[in-house]
Amino acid sequence: MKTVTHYPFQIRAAIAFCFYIVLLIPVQSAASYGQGNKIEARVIAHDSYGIPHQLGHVKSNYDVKVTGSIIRTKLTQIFSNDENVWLEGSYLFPLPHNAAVDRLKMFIGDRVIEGKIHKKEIALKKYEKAKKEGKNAALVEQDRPNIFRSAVAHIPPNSEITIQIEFQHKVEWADSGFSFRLPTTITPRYSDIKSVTETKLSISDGWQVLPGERSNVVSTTNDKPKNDLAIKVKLAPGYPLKSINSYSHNIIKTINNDGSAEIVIAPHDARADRDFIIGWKPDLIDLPRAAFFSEASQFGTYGMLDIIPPKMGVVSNQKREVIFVIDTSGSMSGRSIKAAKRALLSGLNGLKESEKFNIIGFDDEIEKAFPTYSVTAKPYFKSLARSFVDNLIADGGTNMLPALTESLSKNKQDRFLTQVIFITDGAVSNEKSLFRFIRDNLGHSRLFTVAIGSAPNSHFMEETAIAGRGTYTYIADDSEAESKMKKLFSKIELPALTDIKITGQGLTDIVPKQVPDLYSGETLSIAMAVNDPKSKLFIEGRVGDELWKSELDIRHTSSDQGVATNWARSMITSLERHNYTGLSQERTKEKVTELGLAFHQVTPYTSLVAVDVTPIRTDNNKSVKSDIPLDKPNGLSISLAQTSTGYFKSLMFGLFLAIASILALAFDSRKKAVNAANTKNTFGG
Amino acid sequence: MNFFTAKTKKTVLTLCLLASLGLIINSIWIPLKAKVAQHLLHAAWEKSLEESVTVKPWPWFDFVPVAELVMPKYRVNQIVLSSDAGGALAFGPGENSLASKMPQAAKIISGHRDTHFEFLRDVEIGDEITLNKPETSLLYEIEHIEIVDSNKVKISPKGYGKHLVLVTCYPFDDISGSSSLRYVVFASQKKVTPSLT
Repeated sequence: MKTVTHYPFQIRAAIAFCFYIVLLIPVQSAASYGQGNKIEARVIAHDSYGIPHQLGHVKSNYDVKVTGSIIRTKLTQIFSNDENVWLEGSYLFPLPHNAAVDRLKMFIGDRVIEGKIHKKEIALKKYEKAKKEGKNAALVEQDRPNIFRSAVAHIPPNSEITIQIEFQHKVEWADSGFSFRLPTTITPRYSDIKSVTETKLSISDGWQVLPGERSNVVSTTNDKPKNDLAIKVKLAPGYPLKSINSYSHNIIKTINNDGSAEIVIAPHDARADRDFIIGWKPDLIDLPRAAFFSEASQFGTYGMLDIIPPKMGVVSNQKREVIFVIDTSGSMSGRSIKAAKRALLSGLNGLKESEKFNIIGFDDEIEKAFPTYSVTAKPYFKSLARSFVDNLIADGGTNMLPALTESLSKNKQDRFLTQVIFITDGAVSNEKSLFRFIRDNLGHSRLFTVAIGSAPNSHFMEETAIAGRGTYTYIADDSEAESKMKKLFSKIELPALTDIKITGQGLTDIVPKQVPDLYSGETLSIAMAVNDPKSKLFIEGRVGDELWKSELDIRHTSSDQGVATNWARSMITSLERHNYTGLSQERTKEKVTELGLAFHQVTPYTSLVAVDVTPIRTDNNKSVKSDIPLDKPNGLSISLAQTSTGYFKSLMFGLFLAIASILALAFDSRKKAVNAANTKNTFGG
Repeated sequence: MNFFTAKTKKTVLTLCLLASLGLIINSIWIPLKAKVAQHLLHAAWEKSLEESVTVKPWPWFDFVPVAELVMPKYRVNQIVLSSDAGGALAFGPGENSLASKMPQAAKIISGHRDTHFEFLRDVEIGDEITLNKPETSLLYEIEHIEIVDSNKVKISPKGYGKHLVLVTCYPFDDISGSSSLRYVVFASQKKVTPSLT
């Protein structure tokens, strides 16, 4: 605070340092336009009145290389400081789902300092220690599966520090083609459940917080300059390319002589307000249905298999029954029930006449649209159902069990595939017993959860979907109810490959262990350790009452980079999933830490840290530095509740109205009396 | 020229009077309900402490009491509910359920500025707040008070570990009842003692 009085020209920055907290906003909310090929985000500090002050910014730059099935990206982040004070930057940024971050470099002048992997706490300690000693240091941590944080200490006044992070993820493959996706904005927290989200999110739409989530992401400014995007992609998939498209941005592509392609974003469309998506198709007569890659690493040989199960012959014998279960308890009242109703009606519209359906509303008790059994989706029944939905009122308590009992176990004997669409905010207390019930009673039915509202119980909803072998959809606002439900329905209306089992011979550590149902055209991705040059992989599953079996001979010959990293990442994901379903927290942590350290990957328990040898700051700067409460962000995460009843206003209005009416009545009767008197006088006269 | 006959005029005015009475009763009902509910909640809270299970104050209520907020200086002893949704706040202050699930995060409790949290306008820095949970009793001291725009600023619970954050609408005398400003009281944890019960 002393600095304020002594250095008036530094007032803004100095005040920021004394009172404020350095916060960072995600790329999309405040990036500047026209800086060539860079994404830019500002480092914002907030004062105690919530007014943001810019203290620096981060420019990001993606260099992407696609080889085979593996995508490797070099992400350069330039932390620049335009102020007259020393700065420490901390930056929260999104990466693709299941990205394996395995390299960190810090550039100091012409020197490059390589980051090392350590246990998360140790890495943080090393970073803090270096910071204290006045050395340059950089840290990369994982916050959530697809959100990472980088921190850079001691950015000199009016200067910058560059770090480079390398990460790897996989090409997405469906029978419609290949694609990859690079998030450039922080997506809603549920997006990491399924790889596709189409919502354009601005922070004011209502960010929610997950337990354990870091919260120094803030969007407080309303001015939103257009962002520009620096992404360069080199595409060398190993087969001739037929077409390349971007579903998200206009792109400029160049095809090289060796068959590879280079893609950049067209300058006029270089904005970072949505995910960057590229899709391509191979120029082959017979499209590949499977791909295998392997890599011999220091820990052994690892394999990676992608396979599209063949289309099954008979589709028509798989009849569907859709049961909508809608939460009408008191916690759903207001906007939530509105969104839930819209979602339900949209789902109802998507039904075909041959399909059966029913609707169950539940609070303390259950209420069914068709009390005895499900009906066919004929227009007449649909219109009855619509009025049933219109009349649902959200009040009462939450008792989920009867609704689940009704929807799951009822139709076990018939040949219909029961799909339960469960629309709720998940405000329940007996979570564990509900999961157990679902697992025990699921049979051949599938449970799809649709979370509603601004603060649904995400943990419950995710676990319910996993237990119910379905998927999880999140509807934040009633305006997106239709589009989200449409997507869910177009996926689940085709029969899925279910009960998938994977076994191996000469293969170990196959992941995933528990395979979710595969919907038409989706790819099954398997990672494994290969112990024997001649090994076999067996996959089986069923579509309705048809069994699909496949036996694959695995012969690894080539060595493709990134396959071992891919296996490690898949294993880590799988371990964390097991954490959901039983493996103890300590065991999971132990195993994930082990994998992270061995494979040099950033995980929830391991971080990369780079520390320079020589101090850059001298003692006389220390006073300013110690005043930065960096780890105590003032920023967002939880919306503040509406906290006034406003009863005084309506009381005042009521009183005013009462007095006005009484006066008017009194005036009226007086006028009458006067009139009567006048009349008398006239007659009398 | 009179458009209405005297009789219709009288009927309309009488109806207006009745409507206004309804409005008055309805508005008075809000603070009354807030008061009465706290009595029922206290009973439920004590019962849940005795029986070590969460007890609902009345069977169709969707929320449960989770803590007791005590500030003797302002004669405040309120039962905190498990949610800060509108449905809960009508009956008592509510703890943000997202924040309450986070490890090492602040407890964020909101209350209406014109009922339960009216007393916040008088609290001062240095005042002590006791929050009684079923197992522990937490003592906090008010550290600072901020007025923020809820459209622009959100609270990060993890950024305020071991803090108690009390939130109410601002300004206290605002007649519209729709202000986006919030009066936010930050109190830091001083002491944790096992609960008496």
